[in-house]
Amino acid sequence: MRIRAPKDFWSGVMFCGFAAIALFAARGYSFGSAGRMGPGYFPLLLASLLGALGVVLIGRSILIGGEPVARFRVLPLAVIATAICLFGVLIEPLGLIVSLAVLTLMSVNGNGRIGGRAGPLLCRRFCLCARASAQCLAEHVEWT
Amino acid sequence: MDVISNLGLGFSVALTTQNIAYCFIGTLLGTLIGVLPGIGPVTTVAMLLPISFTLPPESAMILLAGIYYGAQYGGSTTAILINIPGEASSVVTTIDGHAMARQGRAGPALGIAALGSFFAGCAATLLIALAAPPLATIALQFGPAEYFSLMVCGLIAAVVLARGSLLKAIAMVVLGLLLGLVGTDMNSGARRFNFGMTGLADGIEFVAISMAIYGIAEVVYNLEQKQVADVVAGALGRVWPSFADVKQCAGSILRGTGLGAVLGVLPGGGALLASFAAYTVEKRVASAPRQFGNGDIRGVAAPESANNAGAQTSFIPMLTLGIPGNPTMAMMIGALMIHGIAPGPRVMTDRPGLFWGLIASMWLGNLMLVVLNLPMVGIWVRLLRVPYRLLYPAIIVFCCIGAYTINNKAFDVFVMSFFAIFGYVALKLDCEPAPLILGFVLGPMMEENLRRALLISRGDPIVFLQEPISLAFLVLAAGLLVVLAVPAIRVRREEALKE
Repeated sequence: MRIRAPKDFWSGVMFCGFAAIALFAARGYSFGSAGRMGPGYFPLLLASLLGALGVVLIGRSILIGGEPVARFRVLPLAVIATAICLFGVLIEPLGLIVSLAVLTLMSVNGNGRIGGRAGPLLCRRFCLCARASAQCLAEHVEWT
Repeated sequence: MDVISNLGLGFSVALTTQNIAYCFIGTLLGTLIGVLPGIGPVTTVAMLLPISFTLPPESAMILLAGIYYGAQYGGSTTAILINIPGEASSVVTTIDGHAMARQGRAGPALGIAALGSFFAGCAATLLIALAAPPLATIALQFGPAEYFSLMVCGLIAAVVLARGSLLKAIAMVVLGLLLGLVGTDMNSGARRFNFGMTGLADGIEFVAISMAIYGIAEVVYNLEQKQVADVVAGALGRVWPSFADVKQCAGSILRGTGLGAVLGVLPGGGALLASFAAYTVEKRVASAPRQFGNGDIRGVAAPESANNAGAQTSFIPMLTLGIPGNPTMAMMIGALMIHGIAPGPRVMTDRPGLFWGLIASMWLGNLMLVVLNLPMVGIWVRLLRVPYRLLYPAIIVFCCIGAYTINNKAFDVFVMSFFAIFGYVALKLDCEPAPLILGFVLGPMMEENLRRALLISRGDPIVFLQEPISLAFLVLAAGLLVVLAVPAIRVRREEALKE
C-alpha cells in the first residue's frame, strides 16, 4: 500500500481525527429520536458524515494519485502562534502596552528574515497607537 | 411606488452625518486594502468585526459593506500597475490591465476600471432594491423544512463553485457545521463539545475563528509566497479614458455588469467568480479587433464591472434569506448576530431602516469610490511601496486586540491561536476555508430548522420531499453534486476555474 495523494491522505486523517474527537465528546449526549431530537442527534449525524468523508479521502488517496504536501514552515507559524498565546496570557496581569510589545517583537522576527531596527520601531508605533485608541475607546464608552 | 418611499427612508438613514462618515471610512479602507496585496476584504471585515460591535447596527453594516465593494475598486489599481492582483477578484485584470500599463496606457485602464465599476455598482444596487423585497416576501412563507433544504442547497452550491477538491470542500462544510454547534444547545440547555472549558460555554467566538483563519493563517501563508512585483513607474498619463475608449467598452461594461449581477446572487458566487466568467465571455463575444492579452481595454472593463456587480448582488441572499454566499457575507451575518438581529427575511420588515439604509449607502459609497479612485489614484500608487513585512505585524496586532476586546476574555485569544494553526494546516492541505466559515455560521440555524421540521412531521424525514419548494432545493443540490461527479464536466470546471 502506497499513498499516492499525500495532500488528500492527510486531509482525510485530519477530518477523521476531528470526527473521532466529536464522536468521543458526544458519547454522553442524549440522542433522542428524529421527532424529538436530543442534543446529540445533529452532532452525531455530522460527526459520522465527517468521518465517512475522511475515510473516503484516505481511500481515494491510495487509489488515485495527487499532489505532494508542500513543505511546512513550522518556525514562523510556531513563533506567531506562541506570540498570540503569550499576548493572551500577559494582557490581564501586565496590561496592553507590555503584551503588545512582546507580540510585535516576536511576530516581526517570526519570519526569520528581518530583525534590526524594524521591530523596535513598529513596536513603539503600535504602543502609541494603542494608547491613543484606548483613550478614544474610553471616551466613546463614556458617550454612549 | 413602494420602492421609492422605501429608498427615501433608506437615504434618510444613509445621509445622516454619522453614516456618511462610516460609509466614507468603509470605502476608504476598502480601497486601501484593495490596493495592498496580501490583505483582502475578508481579512479586513474580520478585523473590524470587534469595532462594529460598538456602533449602531446600521452604521456597522454600512461600514463593513463599504469595505467589501470598495476593495473591488482598489484591487484593479494594483493589478494594472504592478501585475499583482490587489484582490483575488482582480486576477484577470492583470492580464490586459498590466499590458496596457506597459504600453503607457495605465491612466485609461485605471479610468475605465473605475467608471465600469461605478456603473456596475449603481446598476447592481438598483437590482437589489428591486429584487430583494419580492424575494423576502417569498422567503417569509418558508417553513423549517424549506429553510433546511435551502441551506443544504446553498452550502452545496457554494462548495461546487469553490476551488479545489469537492470532497474536501464538503468535509470542510461539515466540520464548520460541527464547530458551529460547540457551546450550549439552545433547545435543551446541554453543554456540547466544551471539553471542560468554561470559555466554550457560549460557543466558539465567531470573530476569533474568522480572524484566525482570514487574518493570521493567511498572513503566515502569505509570508511564504514570493511575488515578483513589476512596478510600472513614471507618469500615469491622463486618467480619464477617451471617448473612443468609452465607446468601445460600453458593451463590455454592460455584459460584465449583467453577468456579474447574476453570478453574485448564486451561493459561492460573488466578486471572484464574476470577474473570471466575465473575462472568459468577453474574449468570446467581443467584436474585432481582439487584442486580449495584449492590452485590450475591454479585458479590463468587463471583469472590473463584473466583480463590482457581483460584490453588490451577493448581498441579496444575505439580506433576504440570511444565507451567506461567500465568507464576507458570512461575516456580515455574524455582525448582524452580534447586534442581536436574526438574519433572514424578517430583517426587511422589522428593521427597514437598516435594510434600506444599507442599500442607499451603496450608491453613496460608489460615488465616493469614483472620487477616491480617479483623482486620487496617485496616493494609492505611493502606498504600494509599503512592504508586506511591515504590514503583517500590524494585522496580527489588530487581530489580537480585536479578539480580546470582543468579550474581554483572554480565552478568545487562545481560540484564535488554535484556529490560526488549523487554518494554516488546512491551507497547506488545499482545504479551502471558505466552506468552513459558511458552515460555521449556518450550523445552529440548520440544526434548529431540522429539529423543527422533524418535530412537525413527528420524525418522518419524508417531509423534506413532500413540500414542493423544499423538494426543489434538494433536487437542485443533488443535481449539482451529480453533475460534478461526471468526470468530463469536472475537468471543464477545473479549467474554467483555473483560467
